[in-house]
Amino acid sequence: MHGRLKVRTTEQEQAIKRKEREQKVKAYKAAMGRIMKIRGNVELNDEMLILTREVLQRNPDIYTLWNIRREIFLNFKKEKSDEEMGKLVDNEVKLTENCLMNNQKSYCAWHHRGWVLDLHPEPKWTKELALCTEFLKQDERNFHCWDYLRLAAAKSGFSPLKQFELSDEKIKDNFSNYSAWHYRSKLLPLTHPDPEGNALIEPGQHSYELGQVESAAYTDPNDSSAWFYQRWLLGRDCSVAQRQPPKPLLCWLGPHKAIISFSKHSRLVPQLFVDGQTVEGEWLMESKYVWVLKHKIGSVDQIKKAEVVTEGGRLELQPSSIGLVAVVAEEGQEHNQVVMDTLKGQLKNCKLLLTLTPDCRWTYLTAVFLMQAIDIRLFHGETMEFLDKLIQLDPLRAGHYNDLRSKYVMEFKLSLMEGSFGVQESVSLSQCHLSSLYHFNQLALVREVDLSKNQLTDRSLPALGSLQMCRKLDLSHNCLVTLDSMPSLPALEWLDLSNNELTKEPGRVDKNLRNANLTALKSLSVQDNPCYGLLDLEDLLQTLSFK
Amino acid sequence: MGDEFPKEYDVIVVGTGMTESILAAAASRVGKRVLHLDSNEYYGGLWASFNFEGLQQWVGDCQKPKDETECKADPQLADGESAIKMRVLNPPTATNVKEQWHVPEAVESSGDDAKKAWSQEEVKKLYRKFNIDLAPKLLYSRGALVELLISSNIARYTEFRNVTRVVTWHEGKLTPVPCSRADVFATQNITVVEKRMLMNLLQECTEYEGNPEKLKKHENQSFLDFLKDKQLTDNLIHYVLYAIAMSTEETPCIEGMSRTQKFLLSLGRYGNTPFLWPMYGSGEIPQAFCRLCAVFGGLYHLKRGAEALIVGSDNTLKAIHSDRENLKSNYLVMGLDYAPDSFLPEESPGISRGVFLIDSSILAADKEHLTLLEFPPDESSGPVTIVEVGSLTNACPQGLYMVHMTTKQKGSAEEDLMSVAKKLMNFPGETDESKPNLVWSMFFNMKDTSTCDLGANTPTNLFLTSGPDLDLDFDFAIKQAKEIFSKMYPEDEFLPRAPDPEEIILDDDDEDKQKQPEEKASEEPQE
Repeated sequence: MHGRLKVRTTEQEQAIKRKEREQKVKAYKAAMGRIMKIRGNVELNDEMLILTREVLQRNPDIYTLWNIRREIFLNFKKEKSDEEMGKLVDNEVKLTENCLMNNQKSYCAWHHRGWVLDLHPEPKWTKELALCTEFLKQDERNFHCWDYLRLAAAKSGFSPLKQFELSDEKIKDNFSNYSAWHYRSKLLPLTHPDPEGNALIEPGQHSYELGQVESAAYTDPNDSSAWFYQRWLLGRDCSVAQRQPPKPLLCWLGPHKAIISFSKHSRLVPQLFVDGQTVEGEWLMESKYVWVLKHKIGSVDQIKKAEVVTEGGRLELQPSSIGLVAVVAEEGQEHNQVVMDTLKGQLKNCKLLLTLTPDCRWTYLTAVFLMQAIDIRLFHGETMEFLDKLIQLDPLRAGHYNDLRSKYVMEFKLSLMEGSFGVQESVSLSQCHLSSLYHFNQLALVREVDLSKNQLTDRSLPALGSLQMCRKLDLSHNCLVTLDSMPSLPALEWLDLSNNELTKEPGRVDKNLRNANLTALKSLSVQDNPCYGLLDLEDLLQTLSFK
Repeated sequence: MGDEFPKEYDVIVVGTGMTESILAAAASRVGKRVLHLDSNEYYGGLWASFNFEGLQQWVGDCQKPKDETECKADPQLADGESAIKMRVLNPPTATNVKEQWHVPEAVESSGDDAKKAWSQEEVKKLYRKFNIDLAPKLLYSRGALVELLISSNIARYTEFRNVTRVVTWHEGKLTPVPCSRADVFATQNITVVEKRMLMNLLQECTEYEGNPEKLKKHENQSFLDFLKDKQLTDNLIHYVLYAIAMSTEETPCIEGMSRTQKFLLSLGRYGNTPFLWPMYGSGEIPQAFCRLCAVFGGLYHLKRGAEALIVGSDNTLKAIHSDRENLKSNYLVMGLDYAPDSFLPEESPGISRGVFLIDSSILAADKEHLTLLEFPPDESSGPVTIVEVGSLTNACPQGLYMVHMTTKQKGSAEEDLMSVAKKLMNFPGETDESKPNLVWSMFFNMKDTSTCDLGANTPTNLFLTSGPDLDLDFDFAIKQAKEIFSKMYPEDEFLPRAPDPEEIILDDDDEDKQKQPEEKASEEPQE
């Protein structure tokens, strides 16, 4: 018997594979040709179903073929009895299952399954749940399956608590699972709502979730999935306020103009009532947060009652030195005492860990998030120190840490003003290491803003659109290169752009400035820029004032 | 078959233990003519697994007095040849065998009680559901055997289950040891700060070789001192030292790190622990190698041994005398339990084994676990390796668990293992509800010949192979088989990949028909 066994050489194998592939291509081309030829011919529906089935079983990602099948099924729905339809759908569901066996991540097959099951006279969605569990066993991170699970759970009335337990189980198997954490964030407000209604999640559960993140973080700090979940738990998205419509924070009514600044992006046009009458005029969104109204009222001294009505509520304006205004302090993220205790405990653990394993960037970063969630004023200094350390440890992400610092600096400054920011004459943010601008919606009524000696680049310019009352703006000693995205600032009289990197590319800055809506501008400085000397400032200012 | 039975071989292998079976497969695989004999009616020798009835038979054999009479063989000898006669019977070389029931012969069924009361009768009725290992072993998921099974394609004959938890005995009770990332994440037995410290340490152990500078510092240190230097808490030190590195307080640092590394590298390949358990018992593994040997033309004959060895004047083996025939061979591989006394090493250390049937797990949980427990050494006993298997491994019937204990022999197996057994289970009369009740137990000792020089007293072309060793895995047997193979056939590859049936072409010029031949159509092992 010895020596009888012969094994195919790799060349032989390759030749066979090549041959198989050629045959496959040939068969595919023939089938697709025929499909396109008989498309729309209702009499040939049966043949069409067979043909497309054959091709899809080999490649479930040809969405055209699924669409053709959907056309046919929509026709079936009109003509077939419930019983027939049930059988057809059952077969179709089986087809998608075969396809998914071959390719568990086929968008088309998952989608078609959900779609066609809806045509079933008695769809058995609970069976779909079992299917999802089976697929998740094979790959607990298959997000297609997680999505489909959500659909099946909704259709079958699978209790959120059961779903929550499933996510629990999957996270225990492998916590590096964005889908499972994300699924949890969607379920928590349903399964564990705060009975008091003050928070999105019941405080005890909130603490437990923070504990889960902590456990994951300490097990493998380099796995980012749990960190993202933590940001959600600590962030605004996990608050009651975030679920509410945008609230007006600042309102101002003056001659020919009104300004409303919102807590977040507001798409709906607000309304302004003066002495019971709607004020007519053109509303414009000047930045993501700020709406501006041009109206015909020349003097506001005689107005008895002015009121703003928005999707987020009503607000009455009161007389002040600069016109009629209303100022509402933005609510910060207030954590419940139970959650707060958890956060403090975790911060303590972080600091202990830093003594054990110094220089771990994740520990520093977590500490930063925790400190900001606990008390931004108390921990301001330490936050800045930790961010400096992070930039040093992890220079590749310096930009991210700089932006975080900019945000925390701004929140710190705002907290110091304790709600009086709305009526400040001027705000100085000079030498604050700002690399980007946050919360500028809260500066909509400030008249003078000093942003000199920071690290602002072109991408920060749009945020300046909130400064609708600003007359004097100092942007000197920053890193601006072009003014391509300069917003409309019709109140601005004095602008300092000196000591930036404004390009000497012929005409670029000149064009930027001429196109910008800076109609009140009287003084402009561009000294110590590459473009200095290429600009005719006088001519420029004159052109602007004529616009 | 008498007339057709070939009389000449390249290799004759006597005994179907692990090393012998690997060698038989390796020789057959590279085209050598192999005859594989075993005087028992079962495969595996001291590596075998038995059902309950088979085990009773084995116990009976062990208790027979050793028969010293020589075979009556009268082989034809050529000039200068001499015959070394073998013993008539080879009783298994296990000693101190003690089998004991701890439940009554029969109990009247007491209706639907919460916990089933087992009787001898009932256990015996289920005898087919048992696969009781003489030498229970686990495989590291990235260990030598797994790699060999894959590279040689013998894996197709084998089936495994993952060990699902690693448990340790700490502060007077059993605790699961968090050993994978998922375990560390989920455990509530240690604080988060401990979690980080543990993960840091494990990380360091996986990378220790890349840091020779650091390594020097620990050269003369014990692993325990190293762990203490890391300021690990007592909890963690216990987990790492005893359960993960499976070490003792004396283990040197580098060895501890290397053992930890071996553990960690095998994590996550097939599951949450680094270990695999052979379905149907460890006795399946030698048989898988025998099967490959047969597929490549090796001849098998159970219930047949060698009655005499025929040795030439140049101290080389010429042939064996078996069943009234002289069978010539270039090489002879022989399990140590077959070897004539004159070949045996004088002294060898021993292994103490215990097998226990209990009515629930030693650490109850909501699902059936396959458990590894390295019982730390204490005043009364050395470290004991404990494997607990349930019905999912097809090693015992549903409702029962089988506990295997293995430790280095000091006294008799019973003396060596009793104190640990008492800690884990209720003996008759004890009623601690947190512990399982003992149903049946067996103790025995066998020799550990893995450390002996086996070539000292043998003809130059005769290779003795040792029986089961103390290690958790099969690595020693593989190492020994490789060494012997390279002495016999230095030019040949050791177990190259065997083709799958679909890769085999029966008829050279008939490729397109693509018949799928029965893989071992004419090559059933002969018995």
